Amino acid sequence: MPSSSDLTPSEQSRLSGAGHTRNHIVLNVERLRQRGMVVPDAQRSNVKEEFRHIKQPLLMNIAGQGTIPKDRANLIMVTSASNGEGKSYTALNLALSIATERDKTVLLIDADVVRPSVAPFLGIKTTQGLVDYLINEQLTLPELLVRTDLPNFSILPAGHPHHLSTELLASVSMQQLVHELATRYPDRVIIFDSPPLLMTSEARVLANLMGQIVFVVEARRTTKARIDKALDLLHLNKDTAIGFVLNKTAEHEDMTYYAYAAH
Amino acid sequence: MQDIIDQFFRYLQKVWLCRWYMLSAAWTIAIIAWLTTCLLPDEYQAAARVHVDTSTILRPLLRDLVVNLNTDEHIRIVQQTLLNRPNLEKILRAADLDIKLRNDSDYDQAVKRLSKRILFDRVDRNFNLYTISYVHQNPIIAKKVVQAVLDLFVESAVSDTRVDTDSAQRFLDKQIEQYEQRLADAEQKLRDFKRRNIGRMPEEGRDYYQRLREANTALTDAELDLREAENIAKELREQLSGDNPKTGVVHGTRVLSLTAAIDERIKALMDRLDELRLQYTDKHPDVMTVRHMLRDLEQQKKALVEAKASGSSMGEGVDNWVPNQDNPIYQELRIALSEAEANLSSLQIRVEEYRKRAQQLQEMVYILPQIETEFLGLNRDYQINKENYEQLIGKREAARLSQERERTSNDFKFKVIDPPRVPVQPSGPPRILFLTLALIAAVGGGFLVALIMSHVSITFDDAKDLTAALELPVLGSITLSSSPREEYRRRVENTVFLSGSAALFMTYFILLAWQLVKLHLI
Repeated sequence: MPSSSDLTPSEQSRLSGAGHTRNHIVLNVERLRQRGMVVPDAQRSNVKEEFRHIKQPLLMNIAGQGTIPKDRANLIMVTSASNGEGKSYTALNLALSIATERDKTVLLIDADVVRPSVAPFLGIKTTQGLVDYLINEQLTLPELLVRTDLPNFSILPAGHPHHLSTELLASVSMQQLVHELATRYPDRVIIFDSPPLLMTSEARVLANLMGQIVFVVEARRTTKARIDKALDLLHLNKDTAIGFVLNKTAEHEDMTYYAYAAH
Repeated sequence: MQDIIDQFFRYLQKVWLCRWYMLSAAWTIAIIAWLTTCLLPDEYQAAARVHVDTSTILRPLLRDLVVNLNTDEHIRIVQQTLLNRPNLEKILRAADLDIKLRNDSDYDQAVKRLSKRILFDRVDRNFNLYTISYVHQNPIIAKKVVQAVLDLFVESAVSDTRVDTDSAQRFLDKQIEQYEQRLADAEQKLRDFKRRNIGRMPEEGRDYYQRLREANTALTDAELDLREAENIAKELREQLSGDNPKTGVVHGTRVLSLTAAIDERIKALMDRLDELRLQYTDKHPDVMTVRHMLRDLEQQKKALVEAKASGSSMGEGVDNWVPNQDNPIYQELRIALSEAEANLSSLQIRVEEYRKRAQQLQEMVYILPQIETEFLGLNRDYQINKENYEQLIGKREAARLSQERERTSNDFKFKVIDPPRVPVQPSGPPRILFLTLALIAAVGGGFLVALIMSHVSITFDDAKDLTAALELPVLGSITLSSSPREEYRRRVENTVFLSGSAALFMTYFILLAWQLVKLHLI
């Protein structure tokens, strides 16, 4: 794995270029709350508890207390078998949840170039993003990052739609980017919102670059058959951890300990 | 019980998860079934009501059968018999159903279909009412078929009766001839018999036993007379040959022999007296007469003995005495003797004759019963023949009369009560039934499909299930947040589903209404 000294100066400058970040958004907390998402406030909610539970093993892996090697553990890909199962929702929630950790910085990369939903959801106006970075060597990462009012939470949108978007995900540039992200910012948790596994083969390629994979399964909808199919295609190595999240489960009677604050 | 309920709800849940499968399956089934139902061509039923006396139709058929069939099978047999292959072909032709048939197999099929579809139904158990019906897409053809069947019926009914009664007539005629002949023979035999046995016929037989008795009596009397006559003759002869010495009539009679004759007579009289005394008292005139005669004879005997003892010197045993012919008593005796002999011979003849007669009559004792039996037998034969003959004559008359009657009213056996008409309204297919069945099938099929799908594509609702299924770590589960958007989405989805389901039922009711309108209001 190339170390920082192997990077060309141009590459170096891209990631941590001098250009200051122009993009800044304010998270719409109300909206988040309405959507039943993790809200960066002091109130407790069910979803907060759930994500608190979900992120534990992920953070443990990052801390080197898990079964996988530490070096790429901070690269977490959130994916699913098909569309609409709550992948982006989970990725965003996970990012928000980890952002509440004091010592962690989160970068959420919308790698679902097929159907980018993070930027539109959060009201990010800029149009440039990951795809542009991969195509245009001139662009630097800081120019493209979007900061939020949470100091430790940044977002890289998907970028312009491109007819070769999915192929770009498997490109060398992407590999380099990923690698860099892993090595340069080890304390940063990088969450990738990826395309569905069964939809593009590039997602699988991307998956192989990850340290951890969060596989979102929609309750009562995703069939075991699809899950199996997706898993077959992954060809995971033992250095990549995979964990499942069952999304959209029905409410149980025993979940009354955290009442919603308001709807 | 609770387990069953729980299981039921779990299944419902599963079905609800696959509700879209259910809806689409239901709609598919419903559309196909409803479309088919509506596209089915109308069928028309033509029917005729007839009165059939199955017994008369069946008589020629059942002539050889001993079994008594129940009346429901009657009509089936009638149906099978009348709808045999040649008849069916006739019907086919009469109803113009053979126009489109090209080859033999088509023809066969058409015939077979016809035989299956022409229906005989019993309307009323008691009155032999039947309905002949046929269903076809073309109402005119339907009527034609039923009409053809009726025509066939009438045709075969008439021809059958005639054949039946003709052969019956011929049979009777032949029988009558035979019996006539037999009767004549019997009469002749009787007559001959009577002629042969005149005098011996049973009616006259009653006097016969009397006659026999009379003959026997006559015979015995005659025999007695004969013996008497013999005795007289013998005595006279003896008197003539031995009375000489005393009266000069006979020479050399013994004294004993002289008195012997009188002794005999005395003995005879004494026997007679005994007999009479057995029957009558001494006062009886016959008894007194015999006594008188007896006294005379004793006196005569005494006189004779005295005369002999005093007159004659010849005491004993001179047998030969020559009659003295000059004695007038001798003459008289001689005359008496010839008379007596003449009497004797005539009596002998009489006895012979009487004996013969008695014998004849006696013999008849054996023959008479035989004759009586034979006569009775011949008479009986004659009577029987006569009876049979008269019966046959009667039957023939009756058959002739019934044939006459049937000829004048032959449709009594088969009467058309309601002739077939061209049906205006279709009788089928039962669309309402099909529509409803289709709906039921759609709903049921939908459920089934949903159930199957729920087992085919397994989904998860619990992190534990997921863990168990995948054997890979499950980080956790996220409850479905009932955000307004989610709620809205869910509500919309449910509304769509319910409207889809409602639409299914609405379509059913619309189709149903359409069918009802078609049937009732038009």
